[in-house]
Parts: sequence; C-alpha cells; structure tokens
Amino acid sequence: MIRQNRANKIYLILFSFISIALIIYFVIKALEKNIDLYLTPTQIISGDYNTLTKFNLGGMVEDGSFQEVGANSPTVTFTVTDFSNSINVIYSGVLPNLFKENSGVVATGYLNENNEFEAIEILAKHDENYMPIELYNDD
Amino acid sequence: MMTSVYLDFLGNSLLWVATVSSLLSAIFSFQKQHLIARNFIFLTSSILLLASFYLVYQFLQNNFSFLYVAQNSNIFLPVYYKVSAFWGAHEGSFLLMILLLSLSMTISNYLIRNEGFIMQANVFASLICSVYLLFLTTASNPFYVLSNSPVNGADLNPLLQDPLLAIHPPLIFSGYVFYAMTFCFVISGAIGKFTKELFDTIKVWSTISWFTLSFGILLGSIWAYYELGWGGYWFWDPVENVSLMPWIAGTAFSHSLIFSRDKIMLSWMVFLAIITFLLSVFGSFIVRSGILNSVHSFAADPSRGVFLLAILALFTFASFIIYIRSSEIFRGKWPKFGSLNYLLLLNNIILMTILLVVLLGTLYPIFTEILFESKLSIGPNYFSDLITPLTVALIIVFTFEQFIRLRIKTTLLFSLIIVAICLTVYMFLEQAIFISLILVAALIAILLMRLISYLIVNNTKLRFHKLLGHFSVAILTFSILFNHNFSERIDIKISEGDSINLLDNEILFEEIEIINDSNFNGVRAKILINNDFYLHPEKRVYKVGGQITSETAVQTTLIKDYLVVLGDRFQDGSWSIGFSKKYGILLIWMSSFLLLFSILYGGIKRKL
Repeated sequence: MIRQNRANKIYLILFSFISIALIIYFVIKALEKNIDLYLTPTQIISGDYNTLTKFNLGGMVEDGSFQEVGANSPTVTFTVTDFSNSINVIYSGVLPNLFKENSGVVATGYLNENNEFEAIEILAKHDENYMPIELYNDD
Repeated sequence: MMTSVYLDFLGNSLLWVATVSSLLSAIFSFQKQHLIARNFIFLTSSILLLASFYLVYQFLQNNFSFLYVAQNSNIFLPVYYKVSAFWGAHEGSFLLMILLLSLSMTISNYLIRNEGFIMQANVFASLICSVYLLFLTTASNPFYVLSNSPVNGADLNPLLQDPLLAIHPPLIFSGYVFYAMTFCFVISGAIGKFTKELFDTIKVWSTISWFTLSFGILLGSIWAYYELGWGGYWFWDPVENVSLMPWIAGTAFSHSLIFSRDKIMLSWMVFLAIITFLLSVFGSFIVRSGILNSVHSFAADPSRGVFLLAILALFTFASFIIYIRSSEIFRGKWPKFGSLNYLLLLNNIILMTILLVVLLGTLYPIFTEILFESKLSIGPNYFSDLITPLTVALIIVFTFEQFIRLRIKTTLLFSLIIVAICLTVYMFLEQAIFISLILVAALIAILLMRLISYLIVNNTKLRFHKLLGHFSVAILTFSILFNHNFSERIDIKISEGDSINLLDNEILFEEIEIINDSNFNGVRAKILINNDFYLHPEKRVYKVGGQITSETAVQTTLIKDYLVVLGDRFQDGSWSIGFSKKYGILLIWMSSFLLLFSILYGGIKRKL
C-alpha cells in the first residue's frame, strides 16, 4: 500500500517537472512572438527598425496634418509627433471616437519602405485628457 | 473664489462607526462570544446600508456639493442611472463591496447557529471588512463635500450608461466578496478541523461565488460586445484578465472540494482557496486603481497603488502563515492513479497552468515597465496561442472523467492520457486550429452520447448537472475557437444611397438621420443588408461632457452575427463604416447560460 503511494508520488513529480518545463518553453516562445513595444517618433528615427517588426507608435496627432486621401476607401493620413520628431501615419478604416488633432493616439502597425507608419489599428483612450505615458513623462 | 474640499460629517461618521463595530465583532468572535459578535456584525451591515442609502439619496437629489456626485452624475441623467452611478467609480463600488461583505456575514451568522467554526470565520471576515473600511475612509472616500457646489455634475461616463453595465460591476464584486467568505470558512477549517457541516457550508458558498462571478463575467462580455462596439466580447485586456484569474482559480477550487472531502490533498484545496481569495482582492483593488494601463481605467488615481500593495501583502503574508502553521491539512493522502480523484487533480493542474499563463501575460508589461522602463504590450495572440491547446487538453481530461465510473482499464486510460499529451504538444507547436476544432467537435459528440445514455439509463438525475456543465464548456470552447478564427471585418467608405457587396453580402446605405434625446444628440444610419433586414448604427454626442460614443448595430442569427459600426463623415459627404461577420456568438451566449444553469442546478440540488 505504501509502495503504491510512493510510486504515485514519483509519477506525479516527474509528470509535473516535464509539464512545467514544457509550459515555460512555450510561454517564452509565445511572449517572444507577441510583444509589441511602445515607441515614440524620436525612438523610431534614431533606432534601426525594419518593416517586419510590429510595434505601437505613441504621440500626439499634429495640428493640421489630418488628410483624407482615399477616393473610394476610408484611407487617411496624419502626422504623429512627440514635439521633437514626427512621423507620417497611413490608416484605412473607421477611426476611434476620441481621435482628433492635438490629442494623444496610439497606433499599432509596421513601418513601410518610405519610413511611413502603416497602422492596422488606432487606439484612443476613453479618458478625454489621456496623454500617452511616453509624452507625459517627458514634461 | 477658491473651492475647497472637506469631509462630510454624517457620511464619515457612519463609516468610522462601521469600522469600530467591525473591529469589535472581530474581538468578540475571537473570544467566542457568539451573541455579542453577531449583534456587532448586524450593526456593521445596517450602518453600511444606511451610508449607502445616504449616498444614493444625494445622487437622487442632484446634490452636487458632494464631490463624488458631482464627478459621476448630472441633472439630465435618467433616474435608474443615477442609482447605478453610485458604483460608477472606484469609491462607490468599493463601498458597495464592503456592504455586500458585511451583509453576507450577517446572513451566514443567522443561518448557521451554534457551530464552532462560524466564530473562527467571523474573526477573519470582520478583520477583512475593517481593513477594507480603513482603505475606504483614508484612500478612497466617497463622502467629500465641496465648499461651493457646481451647478451641474460632470456626468456618468457614457459607456456606463447601459442597463447591462448597471448590474455587471456589482455582480463581479459580489463574486469577489463571496469568495472572501468562502476563504474565511476554509481558513477556519485549516485552523480547527474540517467537519462535515463546515464542508457543506464551504460547498454552498463556493457554488454561490462561482455562479455569481461567472454571471458577472458573462454580462461584462455581453456588454463589451453590444455596447463597446469593438466587435468582440473578450480582448485579453488586463482588467478582464484580472476578473478571469479568480474565476479560473475558483473553478479549480470547486473541483478540488470533490476529492478533499475524502481527505485527499486537503492542503491543495486550502491552497486554492487562498489563491482564489488573493486574486479576487487583487482584482477588486486594481480595477479603476490606475495601475493597469487599460481601456477600463477611466480617471485614475495612482496614489492608491501603494495602499493596495500593502493590503495585498498583508493578506498574502497572513494567509500563508496560517497555511504553513496548520499541520493537520498536510496529512492528507495522494489520489490513486487512474481514479476519478486523480483525473480531478490533473484537471486542477491544467487549470492552474492556464491561470499562470494569464497571470504572466497580465503582469509582464507592468514588471518590465517598473524594472527596465521599457513600455510594451502583449498581443491577444499570446493568450489564444497558449490557452487553446491547454483548454483542449482540459476537455479531453474531463471527458474521461465522465466515463471513469464505467470502470475503464488503467492501461487504456494511461495510453489515452499519453495520446492527449502528444496532441497537446503538437497543437502548441503547430497552432493547428483545424485539429483543435475537429478534436473538440469529437469530444462534444462523445459527451452528448454520454449525456443521452445517462438520461435513458438513470432515473435518479444525480450527476446530470455535471455532465451538462462539462458538455456546455466543450460547446463554449468550440464556438469561441470558431469565432476567433473565422470572423471577418472590413472598413469602407460609402455615400447615402450607394450599395456595395461586402464579404458576400449586399449592403445598401439608405440614409442618415439626426436624432435627439434627453442627454445626447447624434446621427443614425439606416443600412439594408441582403434586402432582408435593417441595421441602425448610431453615433452620439453627450450634451454634458461632450463625449462621443458609437452604438453598434447587431443582427444576431444562429450561425453568424452581422455588425455595423458608423465611423466619421468625410468632406465629400460620404461616411466610413465598419462591417463585420462574427460566427458562433449566439452559441457562445447559449452555452455560457447552460453552464450557469448547471452550476446553479448543482448548487440547489446539493441543498435538497
């Protein structure tokens, strides 16, 4: 009876070690694949980013930079700035309600070959007075 | 003239009296003076009830000299939202939570008479209640008064102006509070002894908490889907994860009660109760505390963070000291290989792994920001990639469970487990979604056959709710997988009177009309889909705060949903709209309600 119990314990411990190792391996793999950095225009310009890395661009929508460019598509362009550098953003889709010039925005997407940012998603926070944390810390 | 802020006398007196009375009930419970302790518990809950009514009354009276009322209400708000504005922000929702905790203490004290363990549980519940009250009065006080009151309030956040959201937060909070009660009973057992009566009490409370939290999470999902207009029901947003974590731990806990009754791995059950409680404390503090950078954090106050961490550290430290010191619970046996209890333990381990994945994904960005000052976010694919195979493995295990009483040979079981592990690893490696779908579908078929054969053979419906509950989880998983991988969305630009073919559907954008309501103005589009039905997405501008919100229009059918979001007006007079097809949404809601029904039915039947 005791021996049976001990065998069970050994099975269980062995089993849990293997599964913990496997899980840690897969968690690290999934983390590597799905981490999106938050970057400001200055960080993008000074850094070396290729067109394959997905990241979040945070900053303010520059005043007077918003333009409708698509004739038959809802494509818009605008400039995101951190007041020292700025970067052009292209987006095709429904904009969030809080999106407006002179207010904070977070865009997720990729750089293209012309060093423009092609956004696949635009976020604006519910809070009207929301500022991207990146800018808030600089002040 | 400067506006200064000071404390309201009546409200704060009530809170302080409640704090003192709650501390007294802890002391008298510790001295085992049941009657006196019970009276103090009753006193605490009545005073808190009074304080809550006092605050609700200020909302109804439009008394904007109260800071909390001025921040969360205004004259034009309909009456029922004035009441629900009570828990529209951190202060009020916390008061509500403490009220619920003291009410459930009162109820259990009057229902359970002359039992030794209730006094032990009272000590902990009263102490938790007092700590919460201290937090409320010092860091999150709803009773601040302005010296000169504003003419009108700042309005309740428009997103919260929805009937579903009026009941979603209190339900989640009730779930948390009921888990705190469950925790107190489990701890009283760990210190004293797990008697049969105590086990019954724990089972009842764990079922109630499990049901309430599940219901709260489900309503939150439904709200996100119909109100937020992002076309989804779950975003792996930190605040959602924070409510999911105690739910996962609570699910594991409810199942661990089955084997711990036979004194098997009692320590594991106690451990799960502690974890569930700590996660629910974490959840109740962190929502709207400003620590998590999330869509749910509205106006945030980071100064509460320190207090939060201190309380969490205190609770963690105290409960693990008790855990380590109670040697009785470590004397339990290990489950026999291949037995039902063994599978339940396996089931528990998988659930804890899922919990670990969610916890890591939620906290990782916070840690990197504090430690390395690098800001990042974790994409939803992290969660779906990892949790899909784990959930499928979980379903495989609990499908076995349903057959274990039919005496399957151990060797067969062992080989089946090996196959399940291999399949799980394969799914991790390949992210083969079709394999998962087919596998889950096969398991659903097996469970359905078991369910039907059970109904035919057995006259006593003893384990009916268990079969039904697991069956609905399998269906839920299937529909979520289907929805996640096959839903489509497209954004276009369209003018009034135009029609277009999108995702194999004929869309006719008929017209835009102006709408006016008591607290908002807006536009409403009239869109004909497939010459069959109309969708009316809206865009509203709220009169007081000036916030803009979108109202998604949804047409639900059995297999798929059609969703339209109205975007902005372009200079040439056309509009941007987002059109999406979502699969399996109705199935998700139906299976979730089936699961809720099984939990409730199981709980009620246990009492009979």
